This record gives sequence, C-alpha cells and structure tokens, in this order.
Amino acid sequence: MKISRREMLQYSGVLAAPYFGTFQNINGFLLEDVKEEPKDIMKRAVEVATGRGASYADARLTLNHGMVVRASNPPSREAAMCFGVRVLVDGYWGFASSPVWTAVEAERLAISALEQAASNAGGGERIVDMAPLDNPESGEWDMPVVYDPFLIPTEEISDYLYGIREFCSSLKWMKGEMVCTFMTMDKHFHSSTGQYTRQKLYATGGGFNGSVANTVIKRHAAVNIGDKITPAGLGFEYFRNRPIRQYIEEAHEDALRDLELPINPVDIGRWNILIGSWGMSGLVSETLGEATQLDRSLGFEANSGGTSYINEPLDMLGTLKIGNELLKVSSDRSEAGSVGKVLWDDEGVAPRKMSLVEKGILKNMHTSRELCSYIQPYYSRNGLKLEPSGSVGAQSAINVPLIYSSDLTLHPGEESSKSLNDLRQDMKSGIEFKTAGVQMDFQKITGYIRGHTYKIENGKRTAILADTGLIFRTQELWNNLIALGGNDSVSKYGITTRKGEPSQTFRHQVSTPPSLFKELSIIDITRKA
Amino acid sequence: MLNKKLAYEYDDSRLVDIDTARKVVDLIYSLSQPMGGTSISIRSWHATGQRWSRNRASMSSDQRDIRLSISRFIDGGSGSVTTNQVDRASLESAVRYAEERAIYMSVAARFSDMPLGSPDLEVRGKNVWSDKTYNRTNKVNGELVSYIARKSEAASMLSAGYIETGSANSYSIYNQDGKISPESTAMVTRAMCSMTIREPRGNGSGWAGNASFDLGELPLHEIADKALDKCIRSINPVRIEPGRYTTILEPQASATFFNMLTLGFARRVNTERGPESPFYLDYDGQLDIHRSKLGLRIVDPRITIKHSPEDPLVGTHPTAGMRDILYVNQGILNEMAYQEGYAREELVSRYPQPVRSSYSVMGGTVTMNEMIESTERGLIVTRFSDPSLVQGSSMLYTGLTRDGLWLVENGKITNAVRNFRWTESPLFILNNLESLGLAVPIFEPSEIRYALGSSSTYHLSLNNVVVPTIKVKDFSFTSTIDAI
Repeated sequence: MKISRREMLQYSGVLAAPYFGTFQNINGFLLEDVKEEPKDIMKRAVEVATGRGASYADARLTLNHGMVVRASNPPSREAAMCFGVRVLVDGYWGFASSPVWTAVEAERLAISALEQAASNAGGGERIVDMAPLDNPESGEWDMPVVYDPFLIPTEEISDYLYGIREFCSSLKWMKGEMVCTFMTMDKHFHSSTGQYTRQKLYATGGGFNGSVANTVIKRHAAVNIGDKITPAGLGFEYFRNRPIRQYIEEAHEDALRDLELPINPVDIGRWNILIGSWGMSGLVSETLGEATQLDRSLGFEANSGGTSYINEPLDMLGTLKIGNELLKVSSDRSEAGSVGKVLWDDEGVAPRKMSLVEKGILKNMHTSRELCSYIQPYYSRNGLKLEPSGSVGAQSAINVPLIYSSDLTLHPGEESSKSLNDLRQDMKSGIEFKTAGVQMDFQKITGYIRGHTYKIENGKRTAILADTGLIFRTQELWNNLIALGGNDSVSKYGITTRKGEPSQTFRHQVSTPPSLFKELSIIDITRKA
Repeated sequence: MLNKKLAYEYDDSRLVDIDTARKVVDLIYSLSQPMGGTSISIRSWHATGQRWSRNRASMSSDQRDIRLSISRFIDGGSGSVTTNQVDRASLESAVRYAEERAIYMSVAARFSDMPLGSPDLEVRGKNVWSDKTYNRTNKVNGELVSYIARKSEAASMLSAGYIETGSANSYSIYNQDGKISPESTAMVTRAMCSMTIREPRGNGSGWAGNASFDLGELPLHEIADKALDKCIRSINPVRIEPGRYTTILEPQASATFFNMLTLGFARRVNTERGPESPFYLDYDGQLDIHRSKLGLRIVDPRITIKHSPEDPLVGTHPTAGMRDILYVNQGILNEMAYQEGYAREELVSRYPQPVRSSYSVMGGTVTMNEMIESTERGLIVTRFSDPSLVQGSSMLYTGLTRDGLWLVENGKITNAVRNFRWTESPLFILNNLESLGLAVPIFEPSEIRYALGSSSTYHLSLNNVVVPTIKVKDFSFTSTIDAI
C-alpha cells in the first residue's frame, strides 16, 4: 500500500476530510507527498540495524486516528503517524521513534536505536534468548466493522447523540448525555525474521452521564449504562445497531427503584457478597490479568506499577493455588468484536489461546519473546512447546512495546441459565455490588472495592448501602468463590489499563459472569482508624 | 560496530524551531478561508530514557514527536483538529475539517467561544531551560545505571528504575495576524530519576527519586545510595496494628496531600455552588448566594502555599498573564483558580486564572532527626501509592504506603513496618501539624499523554513541587496490607 496523502484524503469522505501526511524533517518540512511503501521503509530500518550489528531488529509504523463526539460541543479529532525501531545488541535493547515515515528517517532511527543499545555496553553481561517463531507468518488483516466512524459524516454521530440527549429528557426526572469515542490504528510491523504484517484495528466506546432527581424528597440516583458502552473492536454500529435507548430505559427504571429504597449505613463485618458482571471484569483484570504479566512478576515494573504475588514464577507455575476449583480463567485474542483482538502482537507473534488458571491453579502467564525463556523449564517439565503468548503491544509506534493482558474469560458456572437474579435469590442475607471500582496494591495481593451497593435480604434488594467497601486478599477472594452465573449471564467489557515508564494505556476485553462469594470483609470506606 | 559519523549526520534538531513554526502558521493562515478566527498551537518534544530492572538496562530509548492543534471559530461555531504532520496536504485537510466542523456547529446553533489571547499582559516567568539536560545522552545515563547495578549487586539487591531527560517547546497563536510573539513561545527541559531497589525475595523495598528542569540539580548518585539504604533498612518488616499514629511524612509523601489540597483549588465556581465542595461555607438566604471559605482559615497557620513565576524551584517558563498566586496564606484560603466564564460573569475580567500544578509550600526549620527524636511512638513514611478520593466534601482519600515505612519508638527508629492502607484527609492532617521541615523539590513524573490514543504531547507545563517534610498527629492507618 502506497502512502499517499492525496489518496488518503478520500478516506474520510467529503465532510470529514482527513489530514494524512508526513513531516519529513522538522527544519526542512513541507514535502508534497510520500511515495514510499511502509514495508520498504521498515525494511530499510531493519537492514541498517542488522547490518550494523543488531542480532534482532523490528520496526513498527502506526497511523492513529482518534475522535470524540458529543451532542453539543464540537468534536475533537486527532491523527498521528508514528515510526518506532527496536534493536537488540549484545543483550541490550535500544529504541528510537519519531513521526516521520521515510526510508531516510528509517536509517536515522535504526542508527539511533543502535546507539541507545550500545549505551549500556558497560553494564555487564545480559543474556537475551528470544523464543523462536516457527515460520513467522506475514499477512494483512482489517478488523471488520460495519460503519467506519471515520468514513461517516460526524454530523450523523452528533445528531445521534443529540437524539439520545432528547430521549433522556423525555424520561421521568431524568437528564443524561452520552459521548462517543472512536479510535483506529493502522499498524505495520516488520522484523529481522523477515515477517511483515499490517493490521487495521478499531476501538469504539463511550461515556454516559445520567441521573434522575426527585426534587420533592431531595434525592437523586445515577442512571448508568457505562457497562454497555465499554471499548469494543467495532465501528459506529456499536451504537447504531444496539438498543442503547432500551438500555437507558432499563437503567432509568433501576434508578427510579433506587429512589424508593432507603439509604442505610453499612454494617461492617463479614458478609456474603454478590458482584455483578461489570464489577467482576475489573477484579479479573487486576487480580489475574496484571498479576500474570511475566515482566511484572520478574520485577521489570517494580519502579512503576509494582510487582506481583507471583514472585517466583518458575516455582509457582503449575502449583500456586490462587483460588478454589470453581476458578477457571483463559486468555485469547481471537474473538470478533473484542477491543483486544489482533492477528499478531507487536513482536509478530500470533496470540495463542491459553489457560491461565485451571481449578484454581496457576497454569500460564503473559509473556514476550524475550521473557518466555525465563519459564522455559516449566514448559519442558510439562512437555509443552515454548511459545510466547502474543501479548506484547504499545499504544503507538512512538512507544516501547510492553507485555499486557490478553482478552480474559472467567469461565461461567455449569448451569447456563443461572442469572444475576438467580444468584441474588439464592442469598438469604448479603451485600450486592452493582458496580465495583477495584484498587489493588502494588503486588496485587490485597485489594479494595467500592461501588453502588445494596443490602440483600431473602433474595431481594432492600436498601442502598452508603459508603460501602470491600477489602480482600486475592487468594482469599478466589477461594471464597461459591457460585458463578451461567453462560447466558456472561458479559464482555473493554477494560483500560495503564503500565510502563512513561505510562501507556492498553485495552483488553474481559468476559465475566456475576459471581457470589462467601464471608468477605465489608468496611465503611469513610471510617478512619 | 556503529558508524558514529553517519549517525551524527542524521542528528537533526530535535525540536521545531521558530522559523519552521512561522512557516507552518503562515501556511495554515493561507489555507484558511477569510472568515472567523484561528488558534494554533505547535508543540514538539524529545525524550531520552533509560529504563532498567534486575540490575541491567532493559530499554534505552530516544523518542520525539510533534503535536499541532488547529481550531477555527466561525460565526460562533468551532472545530478543532490535532495532528503530528505539518506538510501542505496534511495542513490543508486539517484546516478544511476544522472549518467544516465550525460551520456545522454554527448552523446547528451549538456555540463555543474562541479562547481569548493575552498579548497585552505582562510576561512573567523564569528560564527553565538547561543545556546540560538537553545535551544529556543515554551513554552517560548508561554509566549511572551501571553504578546502581554494581552497588545493588554488591549488596545482593535488585534495582529497577527510570531516568529520563527531555525537552519540549511550544508556540501558541491566538491573534488574527498569525504572528508568533515571544510571550507565546515556551521552551523547557526536564530531567527526572526514580528508582526502586528490592530485596530479591521481596522482603524489603526502598525508593528514591527526584526531578528538575536542570540535570545538574539532580544528585543522581545520592538518589541511588538513598534507595539502596532504604531497601536495606526496610528488610523483614514487622506487622503492627493499624490505628492513629504520629507520622513523619517525607517530602514525597507530604506532596501527595498537598497535591490533593491544590487540586481542590482548581475550580472556584464549584465552591460557590453547594456543599459538595470542601471549600463551601453556607448559603446566605438574604443575599441569595452561596458563600465559599475564601478568607477563612482552612489549615494550620504555618501553612502557606503559593505559585511564583520567578521561583527557580517551581520554574514556570516565561508566559503572558502569569502572576504570583497565594493559594493559602498562613492557613487562610486566599485564592482559587477560575475559568474564563467565571472571570467574565463574576469578576468582570477577560482572563481566567488557571490552576498551577507547580507550587511551593513554605517550610520550617525542624530537621528529620529532630522530628524523630521528639517522637515517642510514630511512623515514618517514604511515599504513598494510588491515592483515590473517597468523599469529596471532606477531601477524604484512601491509599497505601510503599517502599519504606518505619516505626519510631522513644526517639529512635526501631523497626521496618509492614505497609498500611490509610484513610485520611489533607484538611485533617494539615490541622494536626506538629512540625515542618525544610521545603525541597520532589519527584513528579512526566508522561507522554495520548488524549485519544493517537497524538502525543510531552509535559510542557512542569509539575514542579516544593514541599517540606511534615510531622502530623493522629494519621489514620486503617488496615495492614501484605504487599512489600
């Protein structure tokens, strides 16, 4: 594919003309057009790097577009072209990036990356044993979308949102507003293995701010459909083809019911806890997703996000009991519509399906080609082939690739029709977290949840509980799991996480059923010591 | 082997210079339809980073990018685009897009104001540019990493950290003639270093770090020695009961609470709307207005928080409209930030008063040793992790201690202590102040921000913070945590 700004002007149609181009040299800018193939540009970088001593090199080109659309404010639109080159010399990594897509810049970046790697020559021996890739596959893939948000007129989206706002105003005591966020990334990858890939990815999501207010009793309640519009690997059809108004109506009815419930102070102590699917997605991402990132586990993130309770991965794989037999978590990146779906990660690795936790036992971890070798003895012991997980990525080619979590699934209970309501009805007495914001410590050992909570008595919500929090130890939490919703109750959520120095944003999908836990510690979050 | 000469030939200027910026601005104006107003912001940045872990460099990087924002304002409507490409074709499509959006928003009667420029205001600020920072290479940073690795290995510890030197500049144009005036130009450098040294089995952890625009002000070897010392002293922490403790907050820890407080100064209008704001006072029925706590004492009289454009420690690049801001004067809430709408409607002024993320807190004279010696039983905190708001009206937060927590008994440090979750408010602890130490700069990380996952901008506005060690009574530690 040639990179021609003139041709790319067609990308966004008449009203949403794009603005592709390359600033070639910040002091001698204004090149009229770019005639070079991304593949050739990247190939040049890799050739220069390997020709000058790199044992491995890869190059990435990304073309990112972003757009936020609201009903009333003007939409904000962003675009960026980024180029990153990564090299490995004598066990040390070097990386250089810029916004210039040319073969000349490819040479500069390759040499700069080599110099970066060489800057650590005095640092002592560092052995990097990259996991081999069998027949690294080249190819191209576009994430399928029905309505490319950058091809349809922005007016259509803002008018849609205007309609949502009007609809919200038509509901009793309600005001609400939705915002749509769209991102797409054209990602090119080439490495010294000879592999070339191109992928076009989408991330579409939104935000919703709504509430009902009863001015007579001077109470208000949130109308929340945030769980329905988390990031997904779809286009505008994510909004247009889904019953968003119905979701709002249902959330509105929930909020009206909330207004009828008393607000009670929480009784601190141990309670049976029901957590909805959305809350569970955050818990799984934090306690099992991030904790199983091998770089984190080995201390590569010790100075930023922290480490992991899996602090001896080689000894713990296959033996660490994280939870009871109900706990089964797998990772995958192949599901259509997932915000985390790719055919190749940022090292050219095709993601593989893995079982992370089986019957509560740690079985696998998220790895890169470099760090995979740390756990090779585990693979050998178990007769498994050494394969990286395909979990490496970066938010653009300006950034250094890091390991992050694949799409995760907490496997549901055996009774497929078991719903959140069924789980609630099974509770004689307990507390339900409708939403759950999770905050973990820097080793993912202990955590804290707060959210919208209800007192449950004889299977029914009888009161809203104020200032309710749950504190837990990860292994205690998963050992106290007593029931999971069935397959029909599983929902999928796009989760956003941050990692690295400088910090980067990543998105992955987590699929979870509502879940019931026994005897966890409930606190009053406003109570001081 | 590397060809140094060839590499040098490619080593262009890392930031957009003013001549290039002028060409870009002129081109944007020539491409714009002759109607309405235009605002343009050009930012460029460069960062050299050295990350290490397990006593070896794990990634050395050299990154640069540009961020060009164009806004067109036509008949009350506006449209904006941001890109990192500045060739003619890119700019033309960017301008067309912004204009089409502005016209649509105007026709749809969805209005927005063009931000007001400030060319007629006094330019205040201090040079925050350091050639030493700008010229720093990763070769030198690599030597520092080697030093840290040798020290850590000799002590049988594992170190991880990040050192970054960077530079950024910006040109902002709000006027109709498209001229780039000196007061709309900013150039900054930034150096920062942060490291965590851990006992290999996870039985101890120590952190140290600092940041400045001037690399020469960063005692890098001292930072390394301090992190190692803290790690060694933190090994095998004992578990003590949660509760209220007299607590010595080292500057990195006290900054967490001062940041919470200054964040609360961000929107004066919120304090005059209702009791959700911590600085709301009451409703005056006779005048039908809500009163804020401006003019009233909110914290200990020894606390003074200010932003001064010429203070070299909280360096603000020369900027029009900058002025001294005295947020808290001897404990009294003196000033808060407000936006353009508030300025126009309530203060009959054209200009907003944005919140400044750089600030200094007036310190005291009590040394750390004196604070320890005067403590019968208390704790020393290195830093906090993940503070999150629990209750806005009381500014109640919760978070964790991290990378160095010690018990003081009868004037002496007796044990490393297991970490705690805490639940506390800056308004409480700053009204329970025992003593203040010398105010010093602390570590505030930079961040490559991707507002929409696409463009990037380096932190141009420096978040430099100068705060003292503080000793407070009855700090609330609510539960122990297992993480070390």
